[in-house]
Amino acid sequence: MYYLIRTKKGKVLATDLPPELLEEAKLFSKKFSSELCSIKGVNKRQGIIERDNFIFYLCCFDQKKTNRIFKHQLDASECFLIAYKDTYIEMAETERKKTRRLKHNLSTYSTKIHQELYKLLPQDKISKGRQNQRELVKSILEKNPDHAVTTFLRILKNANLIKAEFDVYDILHEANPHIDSQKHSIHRVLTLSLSSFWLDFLDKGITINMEKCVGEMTFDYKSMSSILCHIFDNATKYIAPDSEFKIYVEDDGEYYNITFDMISLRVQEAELKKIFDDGFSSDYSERLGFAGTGVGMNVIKRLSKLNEFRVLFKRNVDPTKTITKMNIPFDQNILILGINKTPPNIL
Amino acid sequence: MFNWLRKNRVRLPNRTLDEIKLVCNILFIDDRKFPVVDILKNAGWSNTRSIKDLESLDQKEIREAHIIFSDIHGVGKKLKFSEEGLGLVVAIKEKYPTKKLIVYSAEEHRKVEAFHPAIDLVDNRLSKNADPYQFQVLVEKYAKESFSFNECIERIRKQIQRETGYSLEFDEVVKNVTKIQKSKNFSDSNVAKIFSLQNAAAIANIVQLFITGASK
Repeated sequence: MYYLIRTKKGKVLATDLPPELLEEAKLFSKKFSSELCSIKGVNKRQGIIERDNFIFYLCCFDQKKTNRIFKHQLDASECFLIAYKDTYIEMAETERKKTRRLKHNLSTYSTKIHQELYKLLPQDKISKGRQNQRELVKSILEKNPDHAVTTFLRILKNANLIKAEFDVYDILHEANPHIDSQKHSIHRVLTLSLSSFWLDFLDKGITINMEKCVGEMTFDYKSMSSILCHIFDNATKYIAPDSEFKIYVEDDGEYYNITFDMISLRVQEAELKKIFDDGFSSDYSERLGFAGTGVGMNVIKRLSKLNEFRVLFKRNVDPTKTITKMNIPFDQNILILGINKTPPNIL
Repeated sequence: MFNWLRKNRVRLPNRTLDEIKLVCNILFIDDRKFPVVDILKNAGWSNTRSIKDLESLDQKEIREAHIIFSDIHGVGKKLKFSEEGLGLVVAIKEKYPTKKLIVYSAEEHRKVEAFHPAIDLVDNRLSKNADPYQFQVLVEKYAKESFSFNECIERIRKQIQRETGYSLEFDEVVKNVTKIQKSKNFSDSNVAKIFSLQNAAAIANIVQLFITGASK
């Protein structure tokens, strides 16, 4: 007895049929037939059952088996087809969900890179006179050095965001991700990650205060740089213009707590529970059109969990610091990332 | 009298990171141009070289290198290693066990691990797509292990404790290393005599590399 599961469009999903019987089975569309098989030269019973877009095919060369028994076995396979279909749809949806965020963000960042480039180097201009393209680009850069620097830094930021997306995908979707714990200077790692966002903070008039960010910590750089990239990307979007962004490290004996302290867009009390949920965007970020596929807090939480970091968000820690700009409320919110002082042995 | 003492006082090298960058030799073995080589040079690691493949395990570049990075694919062909880069790194590590060896590959880590158990022999491994900072961190780590005053003295202390169970004071180790430097004799027997050890091969190697920049 052999089986085949396929879609109505003909895509074979699973089968144990020998290759010589495959093509005929793929085309078979009757409910049941019992006739001489031209390939094997003996009688072949075959039949199909359908469920939505899925088709289950069964065939049998056992001459002792009656049509009734064969049909009974075919009918009995229906519950298997239902279970298979449900599992297949669920798995396909899980895979789609995994790549949806990646696709959305990669296409956003690559579009931004193109837009930044073409703002500096007009598409029409550089596509003309290809032999002189280098000279033309050179003269545009020489005439607009400040714009060129800005463009370069914006490209760097988006390239880093693309890298972070791939890193997150690698780490979160591997069954056993490689966590490479090494000693790093926290100040160096923070400034490396911040450098891509420097321009955005400057544009918003933000003063960055990195006091007490000293010492070495042991962590996986790939995870940490992805977490920081998400934290700083969020900060550039949600921090109040012309405010201070404080970053400091405290040692509580068990953890090094890196605190990101800022006056940022209001997160309401009721939203606190959901802030680390997948796809969550706060009410105010939705209203202001900042939300993409979620604010990235879910990614921060999942990466932190994998590395045995501790992540905590506290809203409106000092109500006297609440401000309103253009009718938008900003509170003092802090995010604390706790790095385990005894690094876990995750490999 | 004091002038005579000052003249004859031997000081151990106490190098800054910038000075370490000038003494540390880094070698990349890669059949393709790898941009991290230039990134390291620009970061001050001026003795960073790159070769496409190894013709001999006694080749000058490999003998002089303190830290070696090797791609897993496309190298080891000239010496006809059956598993290309993996065969090559095993041979390098067997011949030069004290040199720091890092492999990198475009493959995912788990695929590489599954590919060859000998990957455990190397000191570290990286993805070819890793952030250049990750290459720099490893270079700094291994270069400091070999050439930083504090790290070398600490390594010697740990080595003595591992081998004998006894711990020597930091200053005592400095005194002994200074004696070795003054004698210019880095032989195992001389180092063993100064440290009162039976076997001082590992320590002799650390001291010689730290003081002269050349390993045994």
